[in-house]
Amino acid sequence: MRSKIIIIISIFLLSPLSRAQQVEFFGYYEPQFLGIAVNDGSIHLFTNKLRIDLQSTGYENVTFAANFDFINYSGLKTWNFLYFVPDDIAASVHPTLHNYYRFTYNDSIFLDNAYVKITFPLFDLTLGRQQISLGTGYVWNPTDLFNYKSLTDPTYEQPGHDAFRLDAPLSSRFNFSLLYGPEKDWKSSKKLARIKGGLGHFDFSAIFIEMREESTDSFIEYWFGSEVNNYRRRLFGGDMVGEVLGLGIWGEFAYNRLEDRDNFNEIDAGLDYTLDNGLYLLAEYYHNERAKNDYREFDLDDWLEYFMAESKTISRDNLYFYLDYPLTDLIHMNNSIVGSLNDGSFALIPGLNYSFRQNIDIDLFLNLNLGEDLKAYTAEQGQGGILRMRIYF
Amino acid sequence: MVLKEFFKIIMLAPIISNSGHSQELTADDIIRRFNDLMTQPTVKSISRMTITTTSGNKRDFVMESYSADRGDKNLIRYISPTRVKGQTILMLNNADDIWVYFPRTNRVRKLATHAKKQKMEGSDFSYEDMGSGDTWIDEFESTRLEDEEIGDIDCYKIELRKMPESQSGYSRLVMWIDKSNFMAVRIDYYDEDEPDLHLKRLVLSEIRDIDGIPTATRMAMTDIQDNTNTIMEYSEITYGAEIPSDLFTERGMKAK
Repeated sequence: MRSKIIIIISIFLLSPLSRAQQVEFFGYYEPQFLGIAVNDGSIHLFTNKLRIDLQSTGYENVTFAANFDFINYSGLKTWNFLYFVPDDIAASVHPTLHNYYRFTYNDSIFLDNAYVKITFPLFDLTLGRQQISLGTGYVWNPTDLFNYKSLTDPTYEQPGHDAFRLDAPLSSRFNFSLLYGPEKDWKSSKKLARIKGGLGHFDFSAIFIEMREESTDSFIEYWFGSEVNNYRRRLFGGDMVGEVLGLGIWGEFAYNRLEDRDNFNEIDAGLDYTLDNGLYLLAEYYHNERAKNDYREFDLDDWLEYFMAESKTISRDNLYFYLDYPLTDLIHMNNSIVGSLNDGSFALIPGLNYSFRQNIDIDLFLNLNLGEDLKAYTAEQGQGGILRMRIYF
Repeated sequence: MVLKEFFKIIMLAPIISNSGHSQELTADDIIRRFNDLMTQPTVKSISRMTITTTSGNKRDFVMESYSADRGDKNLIRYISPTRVKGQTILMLNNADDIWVYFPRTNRVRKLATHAKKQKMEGSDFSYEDMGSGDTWIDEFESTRLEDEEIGDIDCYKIELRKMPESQSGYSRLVMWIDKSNFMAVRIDYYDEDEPDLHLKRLVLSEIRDIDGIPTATRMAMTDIQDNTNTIMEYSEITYGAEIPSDLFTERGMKAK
């Protein structure tokens, strides 16, 4: 696979076609060190990531874009989910089953995005592996079933998804989108319809998504395989963004209808403001009926679903605060607090961003879980930090 | 009839004339003339923005800009550096509505009005400075002060004070406008809450005649409080270019 991709890139780079069609190459190199203190020990993982983007706009009304990611890891590459769940819950797993919860960070080269966008007078057609970004929330997006945002860095780029997408403008501020994400058959494939509009200082949208998904059930998966847990999910939702009295506000709502399972609602609401001294403040609330509101009922599957990003939170009602302040014109300090309103536990995520050179950024994040045992943001999940440099070219 | 027309021209000449009869022009007249220069029906440009930070570091940005409806609609797309390449800012309604498109996440984010006052990509220009359209006329009251010379340029000096309903981030502005061509050569910006606190100074220079329109091809904005400086230099400016209206939409932001 790796050699095939290198050959494809080489052919593209050397091809007279690439020069004739005004292909641009750019990207970044990103070394990252991750350290976590957990279970009286520590984990170190060093990651090298090289992303190469190419974009061709040589044909009128046709854009081709792609990016390849090369990622390798060193340090402790094989982890176990049980390191991060509360000790009492990990202890409930029989030692002979511990290996079942292991996962390994494997070196990889993959095609993250590759799509062609054709612009017609009345609509745009995008075919191929592409980013699909939905919703107005900063940390949580109930209407986005395609991506999962990291609490430490919600703005980090998301992976591409195979899809055929049609976007049709209906007026200057209204547009309509249809998306089909092919899987093995029609029934399994992802379908999306969305209408987005604007009125005054507000934008809003209504969305429908149908897809099949899997959820983690440690017992069933171990004995019967994951197919058992594959079910249909239909989402009916909407979002809005605008402002009231100078405050930026946004909201998202999703009603999730599941096959053979309990339906559930998700609500997200947030606001932000920037003070004259440059201090940016943001607050966001997320209600997730899929999650439990009593931490004493959290079981292994709840934790696994959370770590596998099948549920966006483990706790039902969550609050997120974020502030960003420019210490100098090149250094920004930020701090997030994410907490559960149900059990009162919380985590602190302080960070620094330094614009070291024109095309070099350095980021430092810490993730300090400060909650009591068994709670949503329990200290038993460990305390970690990320030091990351990104060099754009 | 011909004689009548001749007399009409003679009578009107002192009012029309740009120089030597400045006492007849009110502050409103002068600001409108300057505003007309700055808010052409359509403008397309490529510019380089160089930010000098407090520590003396420099950051260079190259961007293409499109403006329509006399500055009411503005779109700015970064060409370089790679860190922000493709990032696009759409400003409508004199920058009362701002959207930013981030190509790395394929996400469009709508900014609230408070963002108008914020620095654009860390520069000394705010979003409001870049997309204010007719704000100087619609949201400020102008008063003519005593004429002054800036260097060897004879200037009208005008003070603009914010109207109560305005959402501008400045309480007042003071402009020095060249009597010969009605192009401002200096603008001072004052704090929203403290009208005596001098925040920034914009110096417009290298004024060239492009399609008969005097155009400042170099603008230097200095933040007096932070001691930082941003220079905007235009390499290409086209007036009256045909700009499709759907450029100023979400589709237009994602067009490249």
